[in-house]
Amino acid sequence: MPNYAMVIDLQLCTGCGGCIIGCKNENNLPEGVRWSNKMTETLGRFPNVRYHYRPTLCNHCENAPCVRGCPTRALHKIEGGITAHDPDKCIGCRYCMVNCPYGVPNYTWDRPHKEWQDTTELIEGATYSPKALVDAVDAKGWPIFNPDPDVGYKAIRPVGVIEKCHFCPHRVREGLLPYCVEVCPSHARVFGDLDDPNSKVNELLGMFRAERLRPELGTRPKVFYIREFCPCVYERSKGAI
Amino acid sequence: MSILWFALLGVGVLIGLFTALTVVVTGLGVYNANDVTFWVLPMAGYLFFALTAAGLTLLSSLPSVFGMKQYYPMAKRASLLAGATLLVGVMCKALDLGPITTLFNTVHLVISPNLSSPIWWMAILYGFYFTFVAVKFYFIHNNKWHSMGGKTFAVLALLLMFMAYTALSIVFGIADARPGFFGHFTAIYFAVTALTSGMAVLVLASHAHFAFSGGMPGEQVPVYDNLSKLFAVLIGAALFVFILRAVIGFTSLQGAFDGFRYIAATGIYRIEMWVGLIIPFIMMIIPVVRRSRLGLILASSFVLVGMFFGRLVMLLGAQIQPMGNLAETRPAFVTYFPSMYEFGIILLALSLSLLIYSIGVKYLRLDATPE
Ligand code: SF4
Ligand code: SF4
Repeated sequence: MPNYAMVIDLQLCTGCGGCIIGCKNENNLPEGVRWSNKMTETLGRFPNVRYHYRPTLCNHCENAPCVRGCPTRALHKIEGGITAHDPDKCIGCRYCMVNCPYGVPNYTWDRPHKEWQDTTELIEGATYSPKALVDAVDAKGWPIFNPDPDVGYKAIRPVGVIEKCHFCPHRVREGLLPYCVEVCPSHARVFGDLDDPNSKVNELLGMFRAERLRPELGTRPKVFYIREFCPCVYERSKGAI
Repeated sequence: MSILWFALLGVGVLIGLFTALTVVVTGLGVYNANDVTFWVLPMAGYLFFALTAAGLTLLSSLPSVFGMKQYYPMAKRASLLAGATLLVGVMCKALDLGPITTLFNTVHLVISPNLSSPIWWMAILYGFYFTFVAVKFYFIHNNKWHSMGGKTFAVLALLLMFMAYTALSIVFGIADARPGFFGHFTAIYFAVTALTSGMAVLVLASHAHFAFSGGMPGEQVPVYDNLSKLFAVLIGAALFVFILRAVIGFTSLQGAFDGFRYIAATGIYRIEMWVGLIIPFIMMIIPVVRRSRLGLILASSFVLVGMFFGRLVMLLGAQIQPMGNLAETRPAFVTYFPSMYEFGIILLALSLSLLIYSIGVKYLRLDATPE
């Protein structure tokens, strides 16, 4: 049984957001919902200012508080230690949103992709209405519907339950990479098995000091960050004031 | 008067039912909630009513379980009020889950239980608790206080109250990701304030009833006199835990309490403090006010308003500071104001509980005692 993890190389990450968009497309995410996300921080005073960018996703914590707290096991662990979600069991209590220290689970407040049910044509008689476009391409929900996540999850989750990143098990089972890893144009994301000593993730973790988010909470996240990007050099000083 | 009162409650229930139906059909999108502030007014309603029910259950057990026989005249009233507040509390929580499709999923509480989840324990225990409270009232109403069944269900209702209450406290207590819920201190805060709001409901419901029914029967005067004094003590105790919470919240160096500190500068915190605690405490330690019906009605109403705001303070303090990646593109603290639908749910809960109590007053002889 593998033990999946992800290593994100912050020197390779350009902050393009390709992972965010890729995930939205792959998993048919509704408006406003992001499974793959980012955390940014701006530090310093002008002109000495620095912008930090950190891509985020579900950490698939080994000691996941969301799984412990979910009353119906809607959140549960599947092969590879992936934190998966079953919308048919979810009672919408949102206790996972209380327990996840990273702000990962999203509750679906409205009917997903409801803006695509709009029948208004932008230019009457000349353009499709959102609904007509969806119908014309024979899609479900939105025009670029991807049916693949239907294996094990729901391709589009219903209103009234939470949804979250699931490391794309529908792809991983087929020997493919999670889609955010696949679409990352600068190869900043590395996915692999922590229990395989020869995996790329272990190679990187053996080489670089890795960082995890909020480790003090004991959640044991399985998304590791290496090589904080900083191209700068500076003139050494003796504790200048 | 009676017809007008029932008509008013009927209108409240109807408006509330329309709201509830909208929520059940369309989902929680009609609430002003989002992924940052996701437990809002209906959840505050749940906490308020469920905790009030816990206080009332304990009060109604004073004579039958703890042998304080002098309190029999209020026991049946407190028991009905416990059932009514518990019912509407659970209803608030149900209307905070999602549309009908989500509500159907609650069957998985039984077929896919997670015993390590305090929410699971809370849901199951509240189910049993409500059943026992209802059966207990049935025995009391049939004047079987001291029958085997009457005694058993009085003890069971009390026991389940403690267990359900403990589960509810643990829901917040173990939320390590959100220290703004004040961890296990919340158990103490809930215990004291639950008892205080339960007592406030009992004082308000009894004295409002006596005000309209031509006065309190003479033999009950010492009972209610004692209850008023106890009420004053409880408000004092609630003020103490309120101050303790403020000390923790204001002195902690943890950034997670910034949300609490932010809320503490808003009107809802001031309402909890002044309207819910300080003003009624001052009123209740003045003997002449404590002995006047109007004083008691006002003080207990103030306490209840303050307690309701207090539940919202507690929820929002731990939520308004966006966490993790939710902080992206959001201000340091988000704002929240309830939607009409959220008010509608509270209106439904309030009208329904008042309706049940009013029916009880009219038809169920609530000051009956064991013969
Ligand atoms: S990051 Fe959050 S949602 Fe993901 S496993 Fe950890 S606690 Fe659960
Ligand atoms: S919202 Fe759903 S997934 Fe989250 S804790 Fe509740 S039942 Fe579990």
